[in-house]
Formats: sequence, structure tokens, C-alpha cells
Amino acid sequence: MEAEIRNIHKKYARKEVLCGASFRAVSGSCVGILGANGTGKSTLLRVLAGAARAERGEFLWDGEDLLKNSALRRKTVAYVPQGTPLIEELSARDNLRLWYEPEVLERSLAEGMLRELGVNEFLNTVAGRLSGGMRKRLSIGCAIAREPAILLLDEPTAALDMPGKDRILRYLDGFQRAGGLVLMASHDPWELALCDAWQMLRGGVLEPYAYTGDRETLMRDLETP
Amino acid sequence: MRSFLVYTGLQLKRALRLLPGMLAICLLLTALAALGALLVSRLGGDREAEKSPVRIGVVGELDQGYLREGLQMLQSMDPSRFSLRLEPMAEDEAAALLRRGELAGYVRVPEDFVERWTLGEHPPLIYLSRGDGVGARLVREIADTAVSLVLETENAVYGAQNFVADRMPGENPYAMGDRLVLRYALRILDRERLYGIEMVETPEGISLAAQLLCGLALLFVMLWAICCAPLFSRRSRELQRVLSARGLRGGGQVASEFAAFVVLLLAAGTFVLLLGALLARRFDFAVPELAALSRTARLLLLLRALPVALMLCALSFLLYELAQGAVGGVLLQFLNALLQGYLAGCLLPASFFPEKLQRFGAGLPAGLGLARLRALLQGGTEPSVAVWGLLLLFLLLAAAIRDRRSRA
Repeated sequence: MEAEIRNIHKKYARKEVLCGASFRAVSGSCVGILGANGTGKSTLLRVLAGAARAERGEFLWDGEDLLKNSALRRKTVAYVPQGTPLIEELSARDNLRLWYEPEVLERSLAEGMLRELGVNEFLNTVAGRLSGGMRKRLSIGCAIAREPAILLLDEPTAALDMPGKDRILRYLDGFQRAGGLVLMASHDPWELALCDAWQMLRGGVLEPYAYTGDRETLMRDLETP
Repeated sequence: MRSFLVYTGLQLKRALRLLPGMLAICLLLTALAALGALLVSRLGGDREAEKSPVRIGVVGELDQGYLREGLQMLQSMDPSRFSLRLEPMAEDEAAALLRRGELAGYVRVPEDFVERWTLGEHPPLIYLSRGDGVGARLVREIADTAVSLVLETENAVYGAQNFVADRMPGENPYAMGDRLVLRYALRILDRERLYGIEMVETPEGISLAAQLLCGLALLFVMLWAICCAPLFSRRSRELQRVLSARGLRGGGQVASEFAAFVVLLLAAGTFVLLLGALLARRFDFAVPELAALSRTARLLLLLRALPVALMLCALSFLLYELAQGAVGGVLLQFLNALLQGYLAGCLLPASFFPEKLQRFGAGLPAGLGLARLRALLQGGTEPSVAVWGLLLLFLLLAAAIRDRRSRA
């Protein structure tokens, strides 16, 4: 199946952050969205997730506009923001209960994606006391409750240690292999290495980018206005 | 719907987890406030009273029959801490000061007042005040007492003179009258036995104790919002965004969180009510309006007063939604409680303020709440449209702000 992002426009007050962002991606792939700070990567993901409203544009999945069909979007798209979308005072299990039906939660913990993410290790710990990596795994765990086809991630492994990064990237690799589509805003070489296509966001427009893995080239390209 | 119910359940769980901490903050704040009040009353009470006595003007011819000296004597004899200051002045000046709210009222002494009394006339003293405030009522009580005192004294003196003239031919009735008056002044005209202090009703038609209870209850609801800062300051904006993307929009989120806030208020309110009832029994403090009611009627009254608490909670919720961060939120709540508490008459009866401020205070949410509580204590049972309207308005505004922030 194919996802097409077509002509997305988004304004904050008078500043137009996205002015016609468009690209295509197929399921079973991972697209890295690059761009300097403040270029609108997070905004684009928020718009695609339905957490922000675009002035105009389409997010087509199998011919259906997910920006208009919110029921289908909720079933198809999962969104993991950069911050922590958790209730800090409650346990990991309580946080999961918000998104999972009880029987689905138990099944997923026993043999599903949550087990793969290793959420069982800290199930009864209060979210506020979890490490950065655990929080991120829990956030992803919460996001994938409806077994989505598209996973939107905003710098998923930022500020995590190597084992933490590795665990999440392995999970994303598995998600992709299972036929899922990953759209990921990132600067991180580890995360970008996971992707098989890259888009550079410049002046509110997306352009295909050939990422080589060379840090200096990436730095120079990010700084180019 | 499932998301809403589960989110509400989780918010309640979160609120109950935070409750002990918040009760501790509440107790600490109450203890500090009580300590502060105690210190102020012990250390600064006398000085404060000297600084701000109730000013009453006296206008008219004050040189007649040593009236000015009499006033000065009265002023120097006044032993009360809540002192009166009687100030001789021209009527124009007194009227201007009264309009500005700097004078509680003024007494107009009629021309030849003293001489006319000696001739057996009773020219009235006129007391002018701004309204039917507590001060005016107090003066009326004092005036009534003074009138009965003078009339009874006159009756006694003339009766004694007649008795001497009829039954004691050798005695001079006028000399006897003088002796009687002196004895009266020395032995009977004793300030301590002359008057008793009674709580007069406030202008709103409820007792001062009831007014105090209503004011404190509203103040508690507003201050409780400060103790709830942990509940509101740790909310994750990212969670709100994700919830919104998953279909639980601002309205649903606000309703769930508000429900948790209300449960906390009810828990704390029950605790404070029980504590208050115990203390009232211990210190023999009674509210006449409540004393007359049965337990069931009191419970009904509480239920009818609940929308007022909900309305003020909704306002606090809206303020937390408007504020950025914990410090901003707490400061906003504090300012809200202080300003509304003061202007609406929760701390001092509103009649202490100039008329414009009274009108402004009555229009504030706390002012409307206070009016509603007063109406309930006076037996009113109809639901207040204004209170329900404000409750809805505050929640809708909070939901709109949440939506705007989440989906910006």
C-alpha cells in the first residue's frame, strides 16, 4: 500500500511553516524527514497524526484522505511525539490501560509487541520514575495499541543511551519488516541509517535527499538555507 | 466514549494518589494563616486599632453648653479597642468625606440643641450615613439606648422632685434633684453596665456568623485550587495532543480532569467540614440560620450550595488552563482568591467598601456565589441560572483553550 502526502500547508500566526509539503512512501519502508531546527518537521508529523490542523493538503492512504477520515486515521496512524505523552503519577500498566482494551493488553504483554518492546520489565513502575529509554518504549507501546500501519515518530531515540537506542531501533526495524510504514523526523545518524528514503524539509517544502551517512555533508546540507 | 471513561478513571486515580500531599499543603497553609492571624492580633492589634478607628463626624454649633468638651471627654474615655473617632467639622466637609467613604457617618447637632433640652424640648440629633451598613445599625442601636436612657432618667428626676415636693416639706426638691443626678452619674452611669454587645444582622439579612461562614467557605474553595497545583502543573501537553489526535478532544479531556478536581474538593471539603463542626462545638460557635435546621435540611442546603463550589472550581480550572507552568498557575490562583475574596466580601462584609466597589464585587463570580449562599440560607430553593451559566462558560472556555493549544 502507498501513502501520499500532498501539498500540506500550515501557518502559525502569520508565519507559514509548511507551504506545500509533498512526498510518497510505500508500506514496509522507513522515511527519514530531515531539516534544521524550526523548519517544521514536528509540525508536519503533528498534522499527519491529526494533532494539528493543516490549512490545506491531503494525507492519502490507499486512496483515502486520512486528514478528513479521522476514524480511519485513528486506526491506521500511530504518533509518538518528542516529549512524553504519559501520566507521570501512574504506573506503566495504568498508562497502557488508557489505550488498550484489557484483554488485548494482556495478550500483547504476553506475546505481542509490548513484550518485544520489553515493557513487562517496568510494568508496575510509576512512569515518572522510568528512565528516558523506558519512557520512550512505553510511549511507543501506548501508540501502537491499535496495530497501526503507519508509525510517526519525532526523534524517537534523542537523548537515549546506546542500549536504549538499539532496543527501539530494533523494534522499528521489525515493525518495518512486518509491512509497517515508518515516518521519522530525525537528525540522528543511527536513526537515519535505519531509513531507506530521506526527505529534507527546507522553506516549508520537502525535497528528496540522498543521505550517505557522512556527517559533515549532512551538517553542511542542513545549514544550507 | 471508552477513552473518556478510562481517562476519567485514570485522572481520579491520579488525583487520589496526589490527595495526601495536597491535604498536607492545605493543612500547612491553614496553620500558617492561623499563626499569622494570631501574631497580627497579638502584636499589631493595638497599633492597628489606633491607626484605623471608625471616623464619625460631628457638625453643628458645638460651642453650646460645653458640648465640644463633652465630646472630647467621651473620646478620651472610650476604652474599646475598635475605637470611634468623633471629629468636629463643617457639614460640607463631612458630606464630602462621607461620599468618598472616608467617614462612617456624621451627626448633625441642631441649633440651640442644649438650650432647647433645658427648656424641656427634645430636638432630634440626625445621623447621616451612606447606607444601611453595620455602622449605621450600630449607631441606631446606640441612639435607641440613649433615648430610653434620657427619657427614663427624666421620668426618674421629675418623679423624685414631685415626691419631695409632696411628701417632704422641709426639703428643697431642686437640691434633692441635683444630688440624685450626681449619684446617678457616679453610680449608675457606668459604661460597663450601661450597654451589652449584641451581634446585629448584616445588611444582607443574614447573621454575621452566617456571612462569615459563607465567605470562608468560598475562600476555602478558591484557596484549595492552590493546593491542587500538583494535579494541574504536571499535565503533559504531549499527552493532550495525542489524546486529541486519538479523538478525545479538549471538551472530553477537560470534563475528565474537572471530575477529578471536584472529587478532590469533595474529599477535602468533607474533611474541613468535619473539622469545622468539631471546632465550632468546642468553641461554642453557632450559626443561627443553621441551628434552626434539621440534619436533612442541612444536607439539602449543602447539596444546593454545591453548584457554587463547582462554579468557582471551574474558574480555577480555567485559570490553570490559561497559566503557563506551575509558578504562573499558583500565582494566578492566589491573586484570584485574594482579589475575589476581598472584593466580593468573603473577608470583610461588602458594606465596608464604597458603593462602586460593592457593585463590582457583587458582579464577580465569588460575589454571585456569596449572594447565592445567602439566598440559600434565607430559605431560597430555586436553582441559580447565573451560577450554572458561569460554571458552563468557564468549562467551555477551558475546553476551547485546550483544543486551541492541542491542535495549534
